[in-house]
Amino acid sequence: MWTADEALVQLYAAHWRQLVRLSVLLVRDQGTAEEVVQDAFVAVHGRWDRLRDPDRALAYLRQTVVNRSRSALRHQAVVDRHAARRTPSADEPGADQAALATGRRAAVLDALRALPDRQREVLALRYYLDLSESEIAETLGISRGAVKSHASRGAAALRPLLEKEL
Amino acid sequence: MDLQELIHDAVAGVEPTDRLAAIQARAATPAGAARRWWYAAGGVALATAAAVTVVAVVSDDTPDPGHHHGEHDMTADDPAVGTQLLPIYFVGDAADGSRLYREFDEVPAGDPLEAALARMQRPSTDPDYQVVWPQGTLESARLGDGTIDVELGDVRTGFRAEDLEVQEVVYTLQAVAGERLPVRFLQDGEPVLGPVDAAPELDVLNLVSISDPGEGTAYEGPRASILARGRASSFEATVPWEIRDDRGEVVREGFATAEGWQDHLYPWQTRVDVSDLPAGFYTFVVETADPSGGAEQSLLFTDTRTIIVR
Repeated sequence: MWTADEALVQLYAAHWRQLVRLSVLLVRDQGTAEEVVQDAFVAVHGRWDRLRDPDRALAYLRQTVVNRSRSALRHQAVVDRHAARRTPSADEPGADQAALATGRRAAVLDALRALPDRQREVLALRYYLDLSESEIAETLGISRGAVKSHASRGAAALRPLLEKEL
Repeated sequence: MDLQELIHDAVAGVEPTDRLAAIQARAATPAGAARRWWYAAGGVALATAAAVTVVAVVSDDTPDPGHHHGEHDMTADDPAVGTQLLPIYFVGDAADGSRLYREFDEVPAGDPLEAALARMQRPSTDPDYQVVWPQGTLESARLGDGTIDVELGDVRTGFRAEDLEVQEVVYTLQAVAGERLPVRFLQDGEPVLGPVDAAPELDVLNLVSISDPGEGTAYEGPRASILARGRASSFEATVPWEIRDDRGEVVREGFATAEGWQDHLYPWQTRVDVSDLPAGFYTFVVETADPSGGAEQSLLFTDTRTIIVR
């Protein structure tokens, strides 16, 4: 069995990029996503004694990334409201966003960003990580029925927004 | 392009910077101390120096409350008597000393304030908590003029409003009354303390608590699942939970998300499928989230319930 340090290196090699991309789907900003996923890897290292299994570690990583992405968004919303009060016309995209913002990709990320948290999370886990309904339910701590309804509502909300691309 | 291709494509250009070295540096910080409580499996109370002392009893012939345990148990199952479910706070060991924990207890029907007072003087259903008011120390409770008045029995006075045992009474009676009325403490009809307001939640309550399941709840059947809920003030509103088997092995784990976290305790709720667990005794554990991710010696609060799968 791996030590916590070995597990960290293995998990990082296998999942770092994918999890950062997952978080970008959730929070939009790549710098924020890297912070979120970095924290998740530190947390999984601290828990390795209890996880002891790469599959469970990956499930834990996913869950941690989703939860921390949600928190990062809330924090961002507070910062945004604060900034908006001081500079009402500040709607220029930041540097990180500008780097990402090329046409269709930006449109998809914007459309995801406009969805309620749960819908966005379900869509990302389903269409990006290809998780099953029950895996999504477990990751988010919600029922399979709720996964289904978030998925269909989210997809329905995205379609008109993405009409041009679809 | 379908939705799946679009979503994959949206992040196909994202190439994260390499942060392995930074992660390793943070992971190398000693984290054992922050997690040590976790290995005290099965809700074993942490040894803390600051345990609240049991209220001093004046008369020597006051019976040991332990001997009364079970005396009233018949009432809960007796349909002729009738029962009510009341929120009762007890004192328990916490990460930073002692704090109040809440459980919902079935008590005989009747005046809820009196019933709550009686319940606080008997052992909690969860064995992790302590009784700090022995039998006979709390005599009666009633609604006064904008206050709740508690008549003390055989007990040495000299309490202060911030004492945890005083706050236990205030929290319980306010919860039962459904109103945040200050509590006056009287002895032989003379005021001895108060009116006392509830101290801030973050100062006196354990920062995570389980309302459901109750201690010893049994689950069975092919669709058995636990609807777990409670209250918490946990970093980023994340409430990690685990189910451990009787050897302390983690058999399920996940997170619930509370409705908030910063200024007081907020409700959390989650449903956990236990239909495929082998029959036996398990411990459902919730903790507060570690803001340092295990990197620092954070104070982590926890609450546990024994559950049974049949």
